[in-house]
Amino acid sequence: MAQRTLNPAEGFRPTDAQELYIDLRKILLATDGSRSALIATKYAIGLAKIFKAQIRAVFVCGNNAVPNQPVDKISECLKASASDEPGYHGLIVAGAYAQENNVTCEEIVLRGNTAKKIIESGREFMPDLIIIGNSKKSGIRRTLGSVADAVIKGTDIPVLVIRDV
Amino acid sequence: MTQEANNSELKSLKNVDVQIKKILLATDGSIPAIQATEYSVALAKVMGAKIKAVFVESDDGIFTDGIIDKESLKESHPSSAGLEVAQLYAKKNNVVCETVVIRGSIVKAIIKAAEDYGANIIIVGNTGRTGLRRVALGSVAEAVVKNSRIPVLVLKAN
Repeated sequence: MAQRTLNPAEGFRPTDAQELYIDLRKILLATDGSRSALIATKYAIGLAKIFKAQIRAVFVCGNNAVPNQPVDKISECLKASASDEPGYHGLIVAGAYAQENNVTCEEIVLRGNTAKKIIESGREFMPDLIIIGNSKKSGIRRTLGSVADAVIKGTDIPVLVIRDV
Repeated sequence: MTQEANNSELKSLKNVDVQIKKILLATDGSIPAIQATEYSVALAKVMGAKIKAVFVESDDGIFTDGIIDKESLKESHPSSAGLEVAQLYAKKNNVVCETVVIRGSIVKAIIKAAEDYGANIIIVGNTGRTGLRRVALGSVAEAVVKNSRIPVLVLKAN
C-alpha cells in the first residue's frame, strides 16, 4: 500500500477561509462560428458586462490561403468573396454583440493549429478566463472536444467550455 | 454553423445577460479543487448564485477507469474534507452552499449531480493523473468537459 499524503483540504483551518473576489478584466474568446461558439460568445459578452471586462475574440483559421489580418480587413475579405468560412462570421457576430452590449472587443484572425494558437493567445493577452465552444465534430478521426482538451492541457488560465446543447 | 445562420444571428442582435444561479462544484480536496472552490464562491457572490459542492467517493478506483495507481496516491488521496472547505468559504462569503457525498463513477456522478441540481455551470479543478496515465486517459476535468451538456469551468492550481 502506497503512503498516502495528507489531502490539502484536511489541513484547512476555519481561519484559512478568506473573503474572495474575482478579478475578471480580460476574457479570451475562441470562436469558429459554430453554434457552441455562438453560445460561448454570448457567455463572454454577458460576463464581460458584469465584470466590466474586455474581450479578445480569436478565430483560428486552418486555411493557409488566408493571411493573418486585422478585423477591419475581414469584411473586405468577405466582400471579395474570399471565404465562406464560418469563423469569420463568428468574429463579426462577436463584434456586433459586443457593440450592442457596450463591451470592448477586439477581433483577431490567426492562422495555424487551433489549440496552439489559442494557448499562444493566452500567453500573449494574459486573460483571466478563456471561453471556448466545444463543437461536436463529425467523422471518426475528429475526436469530440479535442481543441478544448488541448487548450485545457496547455494553459494555466481558467477555461470555460461551452457545449452546443 | 452556416453563413445564413450567422447572418440571421446578426439581424436579431440583442442584449445578452448571463444567468448563473446554481453552481455545481466538484471537489476532492486537492489543490486545484480548492482553487475551484474559491472561484465558485467568488463567482456565486457576484452572480447571486448558490452552490452545491459534491465529493464523489469513487467505487471504480481512484479515478474513473478502474485502476488505482500508486502515482496518484502519492499526490493526495481524494477527501470529503474538500466539502468542509467549501462550507467554510461559503459561510465567510455569505454564499449558500449545500454539500453532498456521492458514491459512484466520478465523471458520471458529477454530471448527473449537476443535471439533477439544474446547475448553470460545473466548476472543477484539473486534478490528478500525471505522466503517461494522463496522456493515455486524460484528466477527470477533461472527461467532464467531454460529456457534459452544461458549461464546464476548469481550474488549475497556480
